Formats: sequence, structure tokens, C-alpha cells
Amino acid sequence: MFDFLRNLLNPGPDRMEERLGEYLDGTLSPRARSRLEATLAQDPALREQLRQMRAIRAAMRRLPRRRAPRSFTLSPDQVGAGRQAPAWSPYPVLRAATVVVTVMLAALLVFDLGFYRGGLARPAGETALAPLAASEPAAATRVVAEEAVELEVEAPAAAIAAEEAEPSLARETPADAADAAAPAAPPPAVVAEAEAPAEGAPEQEVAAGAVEATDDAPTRGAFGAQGLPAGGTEPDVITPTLVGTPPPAPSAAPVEVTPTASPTPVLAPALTSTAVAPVAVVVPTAAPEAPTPSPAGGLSPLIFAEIGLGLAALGLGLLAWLFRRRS
Amino acid sequence: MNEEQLIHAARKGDLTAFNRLVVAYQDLAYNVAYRIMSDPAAAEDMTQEAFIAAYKSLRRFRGGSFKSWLLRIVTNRCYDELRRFKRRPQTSLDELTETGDAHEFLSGDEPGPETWQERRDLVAAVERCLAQLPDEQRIVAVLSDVEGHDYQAIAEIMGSSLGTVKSRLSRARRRLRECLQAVAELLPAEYRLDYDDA
Repeated sequence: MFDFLRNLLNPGPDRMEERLGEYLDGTLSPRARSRLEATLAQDPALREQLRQMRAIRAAMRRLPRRRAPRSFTLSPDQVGAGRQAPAWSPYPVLRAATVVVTVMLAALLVFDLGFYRGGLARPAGETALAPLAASEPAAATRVVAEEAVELEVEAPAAAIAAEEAEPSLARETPADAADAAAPAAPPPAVVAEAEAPAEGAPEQEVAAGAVEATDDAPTRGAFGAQGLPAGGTEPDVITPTLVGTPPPAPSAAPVEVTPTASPTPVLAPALTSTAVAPVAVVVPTAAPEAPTPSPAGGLSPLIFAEIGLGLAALGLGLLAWLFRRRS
Repeated sequence: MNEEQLIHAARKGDLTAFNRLVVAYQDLAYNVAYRIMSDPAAAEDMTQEAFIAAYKSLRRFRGGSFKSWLLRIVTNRCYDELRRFKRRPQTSLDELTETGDAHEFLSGDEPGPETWQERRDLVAAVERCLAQLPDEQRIVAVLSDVEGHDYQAIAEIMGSSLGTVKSRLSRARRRLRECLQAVAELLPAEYRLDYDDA
């Protein structure tokens, strides 16, 4: 506070020099001018400084003027006649379009993250993607297990040994298939078991009616085949599949699965023999009102829309920037 | 046609009208560029580029002083050029005697070869000291003390505030004074900062 007042009353050398310059240029107010002239009358050093400043300014004013060495008039080539900046520029339009697309993208992102995906946490009946609900598979597969026709292949006596040697396969293979179909811990009832006939036995023998349904059959032989006849009269040619891909949705047609991969080397002999396929069929429980997810790996149309809008915003922004630079 | 009509016609693409403005202002533009660059060739380039830029951006001219608007383009061009190459202005006083300007300079109030030589030395000292100023200070000093523009016009040309113009001008004058005092011994006695503004 006191420093400010002191500086106001007694300006420093810089401020005094600036005031001298203003005095020299005649831009001081009459009051400031009279005050400065009073100070000059009492300060010889300040008068000397003013005299030097005036001399320098006079010397600069007397610097020789130079004529232009040539004419600087413009030719049409120099200014690109006909290529003068157009009256209309696409820049404002591009800028507005960029803003609009960006706002749309932001709104879509908010909708997608805040509402659409947030809906997954709701109960299965309210969710958009019912099959993805984690609680579904257990109940679904339980129903399938109850309705499934349990088939038991009467293997020749010679194949009993091979059958006994298979538990590992029965435990492993369906698990793989079931894992792929319903990753959320399928119940054992879904496990399909392969019961292999005798090694080298012809496949036709199995298909010729050796399949019969038994009520007391162990669950390890259960097939989730809604379309299979209960009497087993329709021949099924089922070969083992150990691929992780889930089987297609059950249909009336008999399921014929081609082996696409081999299990572990230990199990290979049993699998090469034709046998009941260890296919795990998981029928999802009904979620009729729920929309099905996009088949493209879970990518919803919203994702594509977001990507498209993002690319559009980027392109429009780039174009706007380029036109701005050109103009 | 007056200046306003020429500007109006030039904005519609009339190059002839614009060239009449060029003829009217080319000496001023070249002198400002020369004082800032201190190099005739560079000043010539900057002047030409400034006129081309002025023609192309004439649609952005919102009225007011065309002279200030043009000088703003000239000073900006010079400033950008100095920044781009980090170059310092060159003093080219040797050319003074080789051009017609020397005759104008000699036709002052005090004729005679001695006076001419003394003035020439003073001009050399001032130009050398002017070239040593920082770019912003030199531009302000040129526009104010060489060209005689007032503070408001300089502020418009430089796009700065009045306070900035005043402080830069004050610092420029102090530096010039210190520089000229350092070379005072080289000057004739009567020109050792004793030149009074008549």
C-alpha cells in the first residue's frame, strides 16, 4: 500500500523515462505535463536525459527516406487471378457438421454405456441379452436333462472293456462341449457320454437299432435331443466331437456331428471307433421377449454406429481444419 | 476514385484498382520493411509478399485505416521472417551513397561535404543501434520515431495495447540512448546527442 503510494508520487526511473517519452510525444495530460515540467525545472539530470531523448528522436526522424527500388504492383500471375479466395467457403458447414456428428456420437455413447449396457444387470426377463445372463444355463440344462432321451448303446460284449476304460473321456469331452455351450458351470446332467462299441465294430451295427432308451440309464448317457424319437427307431449316426463349439440348436432332424478334432492321444483309440457322440446340447430356457444379441461376436449395431460416427467426426474435423488452413 | 472506392473495387477482384493502392503505399511499405529488416533485398521481398497477402486477404479488411492495416501486414511479414531464420537485421549504410537517397539526404539545411560526412556518421550509428534492438522494440521505434505514427496507430498496427506500445517504446529509446552513448566518441562533437529537434 505504502509502496504503491510512494511509486505513485515518486516514479522509478523506468516510469519516469516513459513519462519523458510521452512528454516528448505530446501525449501527456495538461496536469501531468505541468507536474513533469516542475520536476524538470528542479532536476538537471532529468533535463539532460530529456535532451538526449529529443536528440535521438530527431536523428531518427531525419533518417533518409528510401524510394521503392521497383514497382510492387501485382500481376494476375502473382495473385493467381481467378483463384482468389471464393466468397463461399465450406469451412463453416464442415465445422457445424463436425459439431453435430460429435454431439450425436456423445449422445450415442451415453445411451450405450448408461442405458443399453447398464440393462444387463437387470433380471433375465428384462434384459436385452437374455442368453448372456449368467444364471440361465444351469436351469436350462436341468430342464434338458429331464426331457432328454437317455440312450444307451448296447455294445457288444467285446466292447465292455472299452466302455470301462472310458470314464475319463466321458468326464472330459462333454465338459469341453458344455463349457463352450454354457460357460457358467453346466450341471453334470448335461454331460453326454460316449459309449463306444467294440473297437473295429461296424458303425452300421450301432445304427441298426442298437440304440434304445432306458429309464434307468445313467445320466452319463444322456443326450439333449428333443427331436430324437423315444423309441430310438430312427437311426442316429453320431460320431464323437470334442470341439469346443456348441452344437446347433436342437431340431427335428437327427444330429450328425462330424469329428473335427481329436482328443488327447490317450483317448484317441476309443474315439476312432464309432460311438455315441458326447454331444452336449444346451437348450436355453425361453426368453421370448428378449432380443437376441448380434451374431457378430456380441457386437451390437450400436457399436458399429459409434465407430461410424467417430470416423465421420474425425474426417469432418480434418476437412474443416484443411479448409481453414487454405483460407 | 478515392481510396475507399479503390478498396471496394479491389475487394471485388479489380486488380487494377488494387495496384493503384500499391503505387500509393509502396514507398511507405518499403521504408518500414527496410528499417525493420535493415536489408534492401529482404525489404523488397517482404514488401512484395505483403502486397500479395493484402490483396488475397482484402475481404477481411473491416474498414478503418487502410494504411494501418497494410503496415500491420508488412510488420507481421517482417517479424515472421526474422523469427523464421533467427536473423538479425543488417546495416547496409554503404548503399546510402550509391542511391539517389544520398542526394536527398545531402539537400538538407546544412550543405557542405563536412556536414554531409558528419550526418552520414550519425545515420550509420543510429541504424547500427536500431538494428541491435529486439524485434518488437525495433518495430515500435521505427513506427514511432522514424515513421511518426502515434501510439494508437502503432497499437493498431501491432495488435497490441497502448500500455505495451508505451513500455516497448520507452525501452527502445533507452537502449538506443545507451548504444549511441557508447559510440559517441566516434561522432563529431556537435552530433553527440546534442542534435536538437528544431
